[in-house]
Amino acid sequence: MLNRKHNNPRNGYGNGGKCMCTNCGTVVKHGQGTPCTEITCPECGSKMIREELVKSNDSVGSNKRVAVITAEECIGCGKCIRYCPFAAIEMQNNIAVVDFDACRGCMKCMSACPTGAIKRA
Amino acid sequence: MIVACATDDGINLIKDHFGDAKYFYIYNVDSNDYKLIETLENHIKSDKHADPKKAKKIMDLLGSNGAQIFMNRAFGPNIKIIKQDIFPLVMHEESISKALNKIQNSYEKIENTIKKKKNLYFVINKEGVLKINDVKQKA
Repeated sequence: MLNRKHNNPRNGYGNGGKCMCTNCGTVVKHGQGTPCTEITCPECGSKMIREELVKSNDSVGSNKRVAVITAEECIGCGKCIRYCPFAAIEMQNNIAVVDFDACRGCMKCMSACPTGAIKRA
Repeated sequence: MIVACATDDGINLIKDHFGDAKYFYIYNVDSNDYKLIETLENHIKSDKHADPKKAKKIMDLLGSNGAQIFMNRAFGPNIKIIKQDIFPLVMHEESISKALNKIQNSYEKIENTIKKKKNLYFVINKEGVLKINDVKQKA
């Protein structure tokens, strides 16, 4: 039986549809049971997400919410960068920094952060 | 207090995770002075990135040399394992000598914390401000 996680596009799941590359825009058919966020673009190797999330100009969910990183708590591990499906985080002087325009508020980074330095805002 | 620094050249802290350093330089630091007491080559390698077994071996190696604090510019997710026995210190300063000066500026606060508490990590920012952090539980 599918749980909420498996019905949620922000986790890369969904019935049918397509996966789209966040970098070059390449579209591939969604493979059932495999979240888009777990595959890489066949053209450029970047992260993929559900096509409807790329096309919607809104954040994931109804309100614009973004990830905020507390610099004094960041340990510079880079795990959030690997988990962000929108390539919205970069490292500046060993501190992770969120590009708020690119962040869609999926909060995968928050779950990945080993120290809890990332909050939703 | 005994501070282990992750370095490739003996001058600067490394940009990568603590355990990826070529060498560990161990310093005895007090409020007025610091002294290099040991240099160790990091021969502990692992094919797996952020390997918890590697973290434990490094903790054993440096712990046997008395290290109370691990200092670097970045740590990996193994910080959760390290902080159980050692105090990780994330330093937003590249130069080891400047970093040690910043520790001296907050010496009393750090010393009191490592005497009384566990499971914490320190961050000292570019301006030299110390923050003592706990790893938050996931919501």
